[in-house]
Amino acid sequence: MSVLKHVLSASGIVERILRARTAYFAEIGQNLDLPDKILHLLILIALGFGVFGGVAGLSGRTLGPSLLGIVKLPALFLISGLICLPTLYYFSVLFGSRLHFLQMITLILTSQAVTAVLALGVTPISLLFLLSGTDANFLVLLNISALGLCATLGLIFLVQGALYANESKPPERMTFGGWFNLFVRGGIRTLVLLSWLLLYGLIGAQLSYAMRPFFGVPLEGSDFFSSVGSAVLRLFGAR
Amino acid sequence: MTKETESESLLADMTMIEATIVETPTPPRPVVAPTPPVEIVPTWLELRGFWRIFTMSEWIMRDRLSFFEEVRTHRDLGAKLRSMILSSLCYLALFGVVLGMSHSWMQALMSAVKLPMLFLVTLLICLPTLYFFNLLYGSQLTFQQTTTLMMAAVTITGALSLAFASISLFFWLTIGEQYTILILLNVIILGISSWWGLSFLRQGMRHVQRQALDVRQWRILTTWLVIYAFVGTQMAWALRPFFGVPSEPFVVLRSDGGTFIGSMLTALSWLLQKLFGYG
Repeated sequence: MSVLKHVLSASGIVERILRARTAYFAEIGQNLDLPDKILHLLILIALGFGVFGGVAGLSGRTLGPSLLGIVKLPALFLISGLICLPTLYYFSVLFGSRLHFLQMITLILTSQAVTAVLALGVTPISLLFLLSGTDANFLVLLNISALGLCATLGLIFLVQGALYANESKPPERMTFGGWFNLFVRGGIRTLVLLSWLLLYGLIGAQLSYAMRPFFGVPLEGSDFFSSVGSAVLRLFGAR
Repeated sequence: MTKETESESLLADMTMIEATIVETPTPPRPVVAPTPPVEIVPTWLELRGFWRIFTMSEWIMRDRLSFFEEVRTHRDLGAKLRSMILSSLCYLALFGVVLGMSHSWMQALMSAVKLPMLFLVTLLICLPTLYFFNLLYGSQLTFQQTTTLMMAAVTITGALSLAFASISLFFWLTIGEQYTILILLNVIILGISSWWGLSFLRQGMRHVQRQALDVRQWRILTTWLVIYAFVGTQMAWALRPFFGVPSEPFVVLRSDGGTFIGSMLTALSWLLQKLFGYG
């Protein structure tokens, strides 16, 4: 079964990204098997965010948002990545990056796949809180902060990957100091990456508000930030 | 020419060709190294066909030094200019469609015509000033070189703003009602793209003249950039509307006074009021 084979090698790619990221980034830098990688990363994203989205959608104790969440959460990440991709690509190229389009796509998908896998890891905790009867408001905040944490960790991979894959002769072993050096040496490219992260976060937040509901819980507020803010206030009993 | 000399010269040619053939033995086959990362556009001049036009911006951005070098040595400036004009027309027209889409299809088409016009006419207006003032202060640039460098700036501006098009579209789709936010967003986008386009022009000037610009030339360039920005914004104001007020019908040109800066300040104060809820 070729489908099964792809799913299995998709789980193999997680191991490789998390355990030996420098080798993986070097492969991206050398253009090795990018289409295969992209396919496997997409499988991971669909799987991880699908499961997390399904569990998060149960927060309101209704089935509808949960079923939709299986599709909507992967779509949220992929679409916001797609919207921000041209900006990242052109601005990186403008400031002297050697990466090209397919490599950039692979790097963005890598960061999202890491996020997805981490979210998959957090799902049991979310499920535990759900089953032990925590109130919906707390569940929403829990899921949002878990996803935010996973996304932040995933984006570290994007920054590291974009800087590492761009090197012509990257060192094989990287220490913290090595990453820091790479970060500083990137100069304005690092700045571009960081400001792009801000943009990506903003677009993701705005898109998640546009694609709501994810949790099946009505939230007050006119955009992502005011909804989360009012949920936080309610958690502390201010509303 | 007699028959004899002709055959002699032919013979001479033959021996020369043979000599060159003998003198260049086949080079030893190099050891196959792992393939280095493939560059998309190795040299633009080697490319042929229609798509050559659109690889221009990418080539300029990736390998600006060889682009400047070719400009300096007057290599194929005509072909470069043609493809830059065509590609920047396409980029800016596409971004114009994105700008006008929030109003109607008519407005989108109109903006697709207006936005390239805005940039190219501004360039035409400011080009003689830059060229002659540079000349006055001892620049070696020819008119064609100056034009090529400026067109490169416009092409980069177009490509970068097109890279933002998806973001602009996204904001239109999700917060479409708020016309002022859209205007501010797109003005910021065009501002950022033009800024980097013009910084490219500055680098190009420095490289093509083969020396650091002296203080006077530096001042001229800076002054010129200010003039360019001023003319550009004024031109944009004269050619408006690019977006179209949602509640009003489609018009080709609007003529109700005001200035660019004034309208930007109004939009900013509206945004601040909305964000902080005062006033």
